[in-house]
Amino acid sequence: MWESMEYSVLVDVYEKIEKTTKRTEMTAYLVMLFKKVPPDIIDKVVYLTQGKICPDYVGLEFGVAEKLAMRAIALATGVNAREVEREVKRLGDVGLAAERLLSSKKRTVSLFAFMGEEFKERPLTIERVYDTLVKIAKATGEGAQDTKVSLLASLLKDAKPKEARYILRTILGRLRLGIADMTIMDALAIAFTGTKAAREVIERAYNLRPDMGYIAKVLVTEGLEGVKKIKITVGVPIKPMLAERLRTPEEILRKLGGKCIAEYKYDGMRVQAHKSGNRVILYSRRLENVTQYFPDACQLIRDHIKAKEAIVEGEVVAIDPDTGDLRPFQELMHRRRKYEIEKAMEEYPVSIFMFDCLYVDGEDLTLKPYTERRKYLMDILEESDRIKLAHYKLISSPRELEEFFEQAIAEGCEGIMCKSLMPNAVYQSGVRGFLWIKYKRDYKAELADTVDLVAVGAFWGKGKRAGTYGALLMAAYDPESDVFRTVCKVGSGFTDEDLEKLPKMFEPYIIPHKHPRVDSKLEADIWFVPAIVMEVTGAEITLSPLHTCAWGIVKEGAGLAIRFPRFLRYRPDKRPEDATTVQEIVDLYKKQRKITMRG
Amino acid sequence: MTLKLIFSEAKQWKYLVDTLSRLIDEASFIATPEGLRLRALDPSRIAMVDFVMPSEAFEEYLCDGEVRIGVNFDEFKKIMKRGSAKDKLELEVSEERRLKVRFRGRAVRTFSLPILELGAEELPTPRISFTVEAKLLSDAVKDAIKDAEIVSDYVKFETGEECLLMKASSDRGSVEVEFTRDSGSLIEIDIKEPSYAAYSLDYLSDMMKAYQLSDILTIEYATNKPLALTFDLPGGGRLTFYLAPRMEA
Repeated sequence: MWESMEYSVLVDVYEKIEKTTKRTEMTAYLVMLFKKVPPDIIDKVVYLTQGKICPDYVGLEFGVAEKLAMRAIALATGVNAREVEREVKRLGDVGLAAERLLSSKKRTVSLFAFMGEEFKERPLTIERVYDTLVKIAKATGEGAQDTKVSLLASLLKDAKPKEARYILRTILGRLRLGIADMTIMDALAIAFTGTKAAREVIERAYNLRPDMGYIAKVLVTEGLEGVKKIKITVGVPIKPMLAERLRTPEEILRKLGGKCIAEYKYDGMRVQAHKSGNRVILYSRRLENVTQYFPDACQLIRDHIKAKEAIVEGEVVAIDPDTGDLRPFQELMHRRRKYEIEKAMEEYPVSIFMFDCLYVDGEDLTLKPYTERRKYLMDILEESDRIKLAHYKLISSPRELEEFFEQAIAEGCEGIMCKSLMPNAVYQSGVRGFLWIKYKRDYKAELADTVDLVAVGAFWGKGKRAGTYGALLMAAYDPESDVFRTVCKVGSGFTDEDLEKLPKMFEPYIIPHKHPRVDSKLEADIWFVPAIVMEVTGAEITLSPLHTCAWGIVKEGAGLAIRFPRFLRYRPDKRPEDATTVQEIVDLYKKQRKITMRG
Repeated sequence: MTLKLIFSEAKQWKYLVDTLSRLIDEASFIATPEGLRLRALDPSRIAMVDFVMPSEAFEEYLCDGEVRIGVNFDEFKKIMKRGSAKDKLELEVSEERRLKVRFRGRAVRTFSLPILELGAEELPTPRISFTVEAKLLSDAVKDAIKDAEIVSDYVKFETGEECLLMKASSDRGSVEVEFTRDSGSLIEIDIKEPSYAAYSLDYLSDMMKAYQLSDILTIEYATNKPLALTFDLPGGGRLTFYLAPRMEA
């Protein structure tokens, strides 16, 4: 049985979602939509509501910039390119411009209008939109741009004006509906099991296979039982296990039962390497495919992991080609380019320090304790100077832990990771827990730890900073309600060059109003989609009536704020949902009080 | 099924394919014992190409059934451009479904390209009762379109007293071109009723690249209806373009 569904149904839902800021309403609209969708296209619908055509890790991008989109609009409407450009400038949005031009009576019509009944324009179906978007993304090589333009134009030609608006926003990566993964999972649970309770099972499956469309399809066709059976697959990234943080060796050891394995926490890039025969794929912490940037790391995995199939984790670190010393994380960013990788490989060579093993030749190790996973890792890893186990030590006293930490810092690491030796220390995909605890370098008299915050808005600068941003409004993540709550305004710590680049960098994330997932009492001059994560340090955490982070939790009528915040660096490896959580800010606040009281 | 065609002037085909490639990406020629034809829409469906060339127009024409030859015009154009003035052109469909393009001149040069399997749906032409039909000199029309492009993106066709007018205007300026029998550019005109319509110059100028194929063209149109632009080809062939109008609200 084959049913189809009109794209306009999806557009109606987009519009409704755009008008609300309430997550419960968004969920309800999605539930209604998902219930109506024919089962065989549920995956396509889920991807489209995410503004995608496939999960991010596939790395399939549209490759359509504004210029190309405008050419397609010109072609579809018969309006010339200059006029399209004028309209885009006037309305500030390519989608709105296309909508306007398509509804204008003054336009070149299709020949179909003169070719009889059977050529009357048929409504766009979701399949047609989705399939065409896939074709657009897949067009590569010589002449790809023209192919993309003509495919997009053919879609726009048949689109109603409002449909054109959303097709263009999707293709330009600007759908900006504010629907988080959590909301989609809630909606799937309610739509297909009747209760939100199933979210947990769905989330677990999503951590092991971060492909929402696939999971939706399994849920619809095989039910929740099918979702439970979703397993780790070589080639498909899994969400990494994350570590909690504690401030003293004593606390750490107490939490881990008196002993642990401590490993160097290198200042590099965490990667998940998938090996299948000679094929190696590297995924970043955010599950982006970064294989192309590190051909040398791939070769190391290929040569030194002695298994036919394996998923292993390690830290890729830049090293000094002359001395072999570790270099800081920033140096790795030189590798993030498409061209001249060969040259970058010579100037910024890398080593890999392995620390986990999730899968070996048909065996899923994620439910085995860490001690055992390490055994597998040692078994398949043939060490050399460029690829080895992360430097580690068995620790059973706070003094040992402190010493090991000092040693790590002296060798250029960020700190150490302390891992549980307990039999229950399984690999908690996508979860931040106390099975792994990080112990990082203190920033002296400052906060016990740096925090990773998400930029949600900005204020225009004055005087010397006129024309750029004076400060950014930063927020912590609240996973319970899936919103970002403000915690400070950061204006210092930026170099002049950083400052100059800010408006350009944030340009793609600007929205005309506060994002539905942002909770703020302050009125920013400019609002952003929560996307860019920055590492920030500060003097201390204080109660604040202005910021919404932990509002009413410590004290009624007050939230928490970071005093004297300072920008340290961008964290492109982190997604906004990976930012420091509200609970972590509360913990930092409480610890700081304890210390002050003790002192 | 075999197909082998020989055309005496490769240059003609060079112009033909060059013009077609400006409007369409991929399309199929259909060969039957009667002749060769092709009908296709441009991707935005604003324009249509309708081409026929009877078997008599070829020096040799061997075809014993219906053969579809789907080509990518970008690729096909690159090959056809290699034809020189004195070459003969041979088109042949081989057993393994490849199209062989052979230029016979100072040397025998044979290209081979894959045949695309495109959808078999055959399009009808637009159904229009034209109210104006005019025969004009191709290069005069080509020049008028160049004139209009200086000031606008559209050109309006209007009828006058036994004459045809092309007008273009915008904030950049305006231009008016008058075709009359006296001036020699208008050969025949038949006006059933006064008619006007506007068309995109981008498309018209692409279509007018065919002026090299024929000295005379026929323009047909009606008020706010598509335009048909026909070039009669040597040997009884015909190349017609249809172009959707720009509606003036």
